[in-house]
Amino acid sequence: MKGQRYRFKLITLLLMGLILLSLVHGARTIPLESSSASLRDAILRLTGQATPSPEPEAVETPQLSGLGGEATSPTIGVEETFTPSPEPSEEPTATWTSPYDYPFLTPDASPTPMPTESASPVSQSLSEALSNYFDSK
Amino acid sequence: MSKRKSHTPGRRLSLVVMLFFALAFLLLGARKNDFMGYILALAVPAMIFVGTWVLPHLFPTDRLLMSLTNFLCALGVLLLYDTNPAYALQQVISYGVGLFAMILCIYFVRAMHTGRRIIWLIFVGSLALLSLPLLLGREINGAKNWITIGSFSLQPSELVKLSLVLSLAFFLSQRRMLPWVVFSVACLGLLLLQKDLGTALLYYGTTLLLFWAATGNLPFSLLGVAGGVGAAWYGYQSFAHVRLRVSIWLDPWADYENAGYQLVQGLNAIASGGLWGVGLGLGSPTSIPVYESDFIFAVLCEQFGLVFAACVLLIYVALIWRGATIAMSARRRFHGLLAMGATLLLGLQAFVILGGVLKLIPLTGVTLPFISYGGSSLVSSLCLVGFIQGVESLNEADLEEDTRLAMLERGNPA
Repeated sequence: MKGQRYRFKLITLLLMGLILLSLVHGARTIPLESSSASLRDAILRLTGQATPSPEPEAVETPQLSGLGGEATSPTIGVEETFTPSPEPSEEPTATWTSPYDYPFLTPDASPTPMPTESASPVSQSLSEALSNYFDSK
Repeated sequence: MSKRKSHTPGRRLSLVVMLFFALAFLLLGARKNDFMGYILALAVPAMIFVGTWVLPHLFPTDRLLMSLTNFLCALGVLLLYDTNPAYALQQVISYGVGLFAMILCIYFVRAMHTGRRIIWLIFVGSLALLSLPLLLGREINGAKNWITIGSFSLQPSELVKLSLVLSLAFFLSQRRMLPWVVFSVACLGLLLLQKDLGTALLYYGTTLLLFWAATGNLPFSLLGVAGGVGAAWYGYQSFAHVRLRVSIWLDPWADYENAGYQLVQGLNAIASGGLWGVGLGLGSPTSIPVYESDFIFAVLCEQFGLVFAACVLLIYVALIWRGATIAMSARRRFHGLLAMGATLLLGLQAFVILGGVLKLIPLTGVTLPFISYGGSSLVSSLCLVGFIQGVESLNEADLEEDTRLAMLERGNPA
């Protein structure tokens, strides 16, 4: 029984440690992710603004500043080092399909539309979805 | 006297929690100009009152655990009301059903002393229930783990979680290895056939850790870990969707328009919230696919910020700590393992989805306990808390009995 209590303590510490690790990881990586060049590139492409235009002014700073928040990502915004994506700026299409093989749906939401269906926010054009996202801020 | 004193913090905490949610629902109701917000401003604090004030009068329970659980449930309803009021309505009904089920579970644990017959009934019933989706279920995104009866849908693996914890605790406390192994392997096999990998991972982790806690057999436990790692490696090599999942975890930006879209949106939302959040009712949480269940934590981060989200994570830590303390105080081996198993399942489930959303581990589809939308999930999580509270009420009864005996001895020293 004493050994069991000891093992219970170890398991408790393991669980608590795992959750705290998530917290530390989230706090450490999310600001980095949000300020990374890849994110900026992603957002520009998603909003359909990744036209090979050399003028960084084409992107409005207020739109991007919302991404990291003042506290998490002060570096976000259009910088001199910005280089437009080499890919042609096609209008993004509703191509998102779930890679996961689990049901997204909860029991009570039986007929909830799948992410690829028309009622899903994802099925909008991506530029539209992202515009809405930033406009609402 | 000391007992009353120890209950005071929980009572004060629940008062603050009720006020917080009443104001939050009033604010959202006024903002949306929606009457349902005002109803929820009354209904949700009333349910918290039942959970934290009325229930402990029926039997001794841990008020802190009760307050924290109710806070998380109410937070889920609040986030869902903000994003989709229809979901919030269903969730608040599930919350009520879950509270009722929790009371039943407390009574069940108090009544179940030996439970030999009922455990075999649970054993057979659970395997039958878990195999139903393979026969009658509908396939959603490749997984076949739902059954629909009329307008009512159910995920059996959520309910079988309860019987898994009960059966494991029972057989391990009796040191009967064969039924334990048969039950665990059968459950895992059925889940893998349904391709419900997230739940299979939870079952596996709980089974392995509880086995080690009960027996202390390190070589077999390490063999189990090695088996799990081997199975994961085999899955990675053999199944394209597992490889895809890992590649999304490593670099979601590489294919953000398709496979990585969900995770990128989640990370954007979390980063958008910053430290203090954009504010309740603001932001664009619905732009995250499956925001209501798997990505509810991203919604929470966006609206309330990382500081509040960190506090919510600390609440999960406190839940684990309380559950483990109750398990360690149990006098009987079965009750200790039952409380520890329930704590393990809740803690692991929270970690699996939080780690997935925060890009610490590959994302698997499980709900965040108490907060995510989903009737089966909420009811089963509250039932697990019911198991822990049932053990706590027995611990309190044992303590009272000890005190009574000590008083008798003191009164009659001869």
